[in-house]
Formats: sequence, C-alpha cells, structure tokens
Amino acid sequence: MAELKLSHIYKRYSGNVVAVTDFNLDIADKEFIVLVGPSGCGKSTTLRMIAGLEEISDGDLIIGSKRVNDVPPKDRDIAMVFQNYALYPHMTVFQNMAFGLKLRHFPKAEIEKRVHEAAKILDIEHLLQRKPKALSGGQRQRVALGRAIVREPQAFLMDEPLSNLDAKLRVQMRTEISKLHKRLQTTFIYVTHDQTEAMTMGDRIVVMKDGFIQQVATPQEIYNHPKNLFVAGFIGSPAMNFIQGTIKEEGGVLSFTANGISLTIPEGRHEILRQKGAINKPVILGIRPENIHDEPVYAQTYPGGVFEANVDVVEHMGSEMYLFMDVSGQQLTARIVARSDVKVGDRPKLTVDMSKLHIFDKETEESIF
Amino acid sequence: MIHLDTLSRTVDQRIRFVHQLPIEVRKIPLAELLEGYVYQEEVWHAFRTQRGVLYGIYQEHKLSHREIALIELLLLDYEESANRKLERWQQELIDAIHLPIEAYSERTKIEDLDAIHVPFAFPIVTIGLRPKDRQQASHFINEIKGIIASFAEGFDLTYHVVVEPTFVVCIIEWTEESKTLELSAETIASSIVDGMLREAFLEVRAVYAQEILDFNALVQTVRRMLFLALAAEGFQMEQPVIAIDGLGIHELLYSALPTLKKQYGLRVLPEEATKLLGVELEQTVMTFVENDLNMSETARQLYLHRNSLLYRIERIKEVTGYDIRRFSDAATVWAALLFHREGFR
Repeated sequence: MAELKLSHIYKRYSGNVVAVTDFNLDIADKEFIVLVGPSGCGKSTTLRMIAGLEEISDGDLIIGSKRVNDVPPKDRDIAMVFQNYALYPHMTVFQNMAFGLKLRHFPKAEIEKRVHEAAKILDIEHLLQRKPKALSGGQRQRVALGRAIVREPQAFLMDEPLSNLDAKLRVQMRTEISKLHKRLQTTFIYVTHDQTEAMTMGDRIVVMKDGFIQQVATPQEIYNHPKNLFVAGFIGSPAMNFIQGTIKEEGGVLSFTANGISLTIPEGRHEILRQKGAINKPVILGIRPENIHDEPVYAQTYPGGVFEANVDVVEHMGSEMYLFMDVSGQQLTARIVARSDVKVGDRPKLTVDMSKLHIFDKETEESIF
Repeated sequence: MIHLDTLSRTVDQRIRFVHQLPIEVRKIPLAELLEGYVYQEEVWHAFRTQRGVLYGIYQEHKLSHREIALIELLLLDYEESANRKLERWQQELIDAIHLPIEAYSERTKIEDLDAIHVPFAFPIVTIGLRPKDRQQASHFINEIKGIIASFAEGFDLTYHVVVEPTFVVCIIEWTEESKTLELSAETIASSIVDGMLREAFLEVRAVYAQEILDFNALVQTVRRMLFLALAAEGFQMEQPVIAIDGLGIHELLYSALPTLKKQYGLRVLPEEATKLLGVELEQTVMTFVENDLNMSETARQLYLHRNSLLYRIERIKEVTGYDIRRFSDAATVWAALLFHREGFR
C-alpha cells in the first residue's frame, strides 16, 4: 500500500524528442488513477517510468517515502499487468501464478498460500491445474492478474490490460478490475486510450495529450467541467458538439452567434464572459449531445436556446436516438429520447439546455465556463 | 578483458581512447557521457567497464551502429568474465560474437570447428538474447540465467549458455522428446522474453534458430543472431522475438553504409518534414506498412476511426509529398523513417 508522487517528471529521447513534459501528480494510497489520452500522448511512457522500464530523464518519482528513480524495477515493489497477457504455455495456472515467487525463492508453503488466496479472489480456484490453452480469454486475463496479485505489491500498474479482449468481455473485465481494486485496497495506476474505461473505473482521471497533462480530476468533474477544448472533445461519446462563433451584446443581452444559430446566454454567465474579455471575440461553444432536446418543455424553459436543424441521419440505439444534423454547414449530434418521431429529412425545432453550455476561448482553447 | 587491440583493428583507428577528459567535458554528468556527448564535433563516449570508466572519442558519422555495438561488446565487462575459464567451444562462440557484425559473414566452413568437443548433442535450438537497455547489462546477466534455468526445468530441457555482457546465447538440445512436447524455439524464446519482463522488469529481444546440425552452423548462426538483434534495435522495431530468417528487407537496409542512409533519408524526408510528422504521423506510417497498407486493420491498431486515419494519411501527403496509399510511396517514406530512427548509423 503506497502513495506515489511524481514531481516535474520529463522523458526525453535522443534527437530532442520529448515524450513527457513536467508531469506532476500525487497519487493517494489505495487510489485508482487512470491515465487516458490518444496514442502517442505519453501515458504508457509515464507508466513505464513508474515501473522502471524507462529511465526518468528529469524529476523525482517517490513511492511511499522513498525516491526510486535509481532503484532497479524489480526492487520497486510494484506489479505490472500488460496488454499482452501471454501465459507460460507449458505451465499450469498454479505454476504460472507461482513462477515469480519460485524465482525469488519464496518458501513452498508461502507460495501455496498466496496462489490459493489470489485464485479465490479471482474465482479461478477450479482452474489451477489447467494449462493456458484450456482457458477462455477472460480466464486467461484473470490468471494474468493473479500473477500480479501474488506479488502483494505496493501498487499495481496496468497498461491497456483489456485492449486484446472482445467488446463484451472488456465490459465484464472492467467491472471485475474495479471490484478487485476494492477488495485488494491497493493503489492502482491504469493506462487506457478508452475514455469509457477511464470514466467508469477511475477515482481520478489524468487526461494527457502530446506529453502534457491536460486535466486531473474526478470523472464527473472532467465530464462536467472540462478544462479545455481537447478534454471536452476527448471525454464523452458521442463527442461534444463544437460551434465556432462570437459573443455579442445588445441592450444588456448576451448571445452566441454563429452561421445559422443564435443562442441567448443565461444572465448568470454574463459576469464571467465580461471578466474574461470574451465579448465580441471569436469563441467556441460546446454542447454535449444529450443536452440538445426535441421536447417542447425544454423550449419553454430555455426559449433563448431554440434552433432549427436539418436531420441527415437517425440512429436508433434502443433506449435512445442519435440525430446527426446540419446547421448551416456545421455538423451537430443530438442524443434524444427513443420515443421521438424525428425522421431523416425533417427540420425539427431543438433546444439547447443552456445551463449545460460550455464556452472556450478560440485562441487559447481554454474553458471560459 | 579489454580488447583494445581488436577494437583498434576493427574500427581502423576511427576511435581513440583517453583516460583524461578536457575541462569542458569533465563538467558533463557521467549518465550523459554514457549516452555519448558531442564536443567539438566529436562524440565523447564513456564506457562503463568492471575496471572503471573508459572514455572513447570518435566522429559519429565515421562509425556505424553496428560498430558502436561491437565496441560495447568488447569493452563492457562483467565480474565473472575476468575469472572465468572457458572451454574451447565457448571461446569459439565468444570470438564469433567479437568479429565485425555482418548479416552474411564471409567466414566459410572451418574444418577444425567440427572436431571441437561440445557438451551437447546436435540438433540444437539456439536463442540469442540482448537487453533493450544496455545500461542494465549487469542486471540483465544476473536475471537471465535464473529465468532460462527456470524455463529449462519447466520444459525438462538440457541447455547451455554462453554469456557476454550484452548478448547471451542459449543452446538447447533438441531431442525427439522435445519435439513431442508441442514446443518450438519460438515458444521458448517468447517465454524467456515474457519472463524477463514480468518477473525482472527487463525488456529483452530474442532471436531464435531451429534445428542447428553442427558446430560450424552454430558459429554462423550466433553471428547472424547478433546482427538481427542489432538491426531490430537500430530500427527501434517493436517485435521482441525474431526468427533467424524473419527480418527480410530490414537486413539489407541495416547493412547500407551510413553515408548512403543519411543522403537517402534526408532527401526523402528533410529534418523539417520529420519534425512536422511528429510521433503520431510517424507511427501511422509504420503501422500502415506493417499492416500491408490495410486501412481497417491500421485504424483498429491505432484506435482510430477510419476517417481519422484518412485525415492523417492526407496530412502525411501534405508534409512529405508522398501518398502512402501507393506501395512505392509507402516503402520510400518507410525506409527513410527507419534511417531517421537509426540516426543514419
């Protein structure tokens, strides 16, 4: 069980390539932290630096109270689960899980105890004498987790552990790993490119891009208050809609105006827009698909948020519907209730929930609210 | 043992060794010197040997990646090597490792090699192992022997190892019984690589060869395995386990002269273009070529929507002038990127 502190961490490669820049993060004991971002954003490099697979170019990595930059990886008391969960094919599940302990000359009784305890936690006791080829994908992944658990490490590092599984199994294993974290009460650091995994599993999420941390916060905070345009677009599926336009003021009323759309900004937001000097400046409006509605009650609540759009595609998802629309050349997506009777070719009146609006500075791409 | 004479002959006076550094270079941290530090158009390179640190000076463009690797093999020493007593067959293999590193060496069958007594029976399977991070050579040697022993015990195999600081050769007797175990050299190599990563947190690259029938062939194979390991390392290839005949065109590209690599690499992709490409687009080119220019598979592996991949391909065309949907353009950019990755060495 351990806290981790990453302080001003850099990873530089030869040829002036900087993979990670000034990474600062305090990870609490027993916390489940998820590093998420697109490929090449530095998330796996950061995890590999924590593991010791990559040298830290600059900065301090502290596990517990000890600086471990120069501590060999195997002495850092951590366990890692990789994307490729290859098991040793000639060994039984028991032998696979016991291998690392045997290599470290643990007493036989201790090995037996640890393997059986881990197998019980993972519900694979009945598989201990099987060989890997006789296991399903999910069972193999459990054994891979078991190999890490028997080490009883201070922290678990997981690098895209579910990427090789099919979609259904991935959802199942997601829940299993979350349960495992609760049972083991150990620090988990989890890397994924999948924002759904990040949102559903992490106590906190670290969103990365181009080697820089973009935002560190709880899933709810990241979703509701993205710090910048990148985070807003990366987290959420379907992605947040963005419309480029300008904030204009007329007779004390502020409105967002773009080609073919004009929305009245709620009074409560006027002060921040003025403070940030956003009036008459180009901005980007962000609205999540679920915050666009076709029900009349929303039009009554937010009369300043009504607009019309041409519906190009309708996707029925069962419990909801996705509308893909064109508003004067800008593509928007709405996620509306399944009972709606909107069809392709319609031009319905839709309403933006103005309390859920986001405005970003076009130049800095930082959130204004 | 430090093979300074061998080294001087091999690299033909293109490297000088000194014990005293100029004042400016003395300020540089050792870690940086171990990577190589450029001072007055020369690379000052520290080599950590068991007998202390030795400093070599060379002009980068005059030495290839292979020659640098050979220098390291000859210089890096580890505690056992000073005192070890080698049998003739072990010495022959180590000598083979210490020769200039080539894809297809000119050394032909040497009659007396077959007369050398070896403590194993042919046919054998051979696995060559090299740490990805050469700074961890001593750590690598300490761990690899334990891992090989554990797997050999698990597979019930008879094995021998020949250990050099950055290259370990594992020889496994390949009996009729081994063949019935549903085993292959690839399985064993993968297990060792995997074991090193999971148990010792050390990344290792393995090259394996099946069914070697005599000692002459073993000597040639060991030399070739080292070449392949270095080619994969130079081009920063991701695959950790390579078959002896598994690198194809990479072998030819890796064998090219550094001057040719530089001229070609910079003509196809000037430095400015590689900067504009960045990590993301470079990865896109490599993955696209590795997947036979298959859009769907490339998009899946890069976790991209097909349209995002198309956008990236268009962007690559804007930056480089090459449309990587065409095979010849893809191959041209791919080879240039490999040379850039290798630093034209």
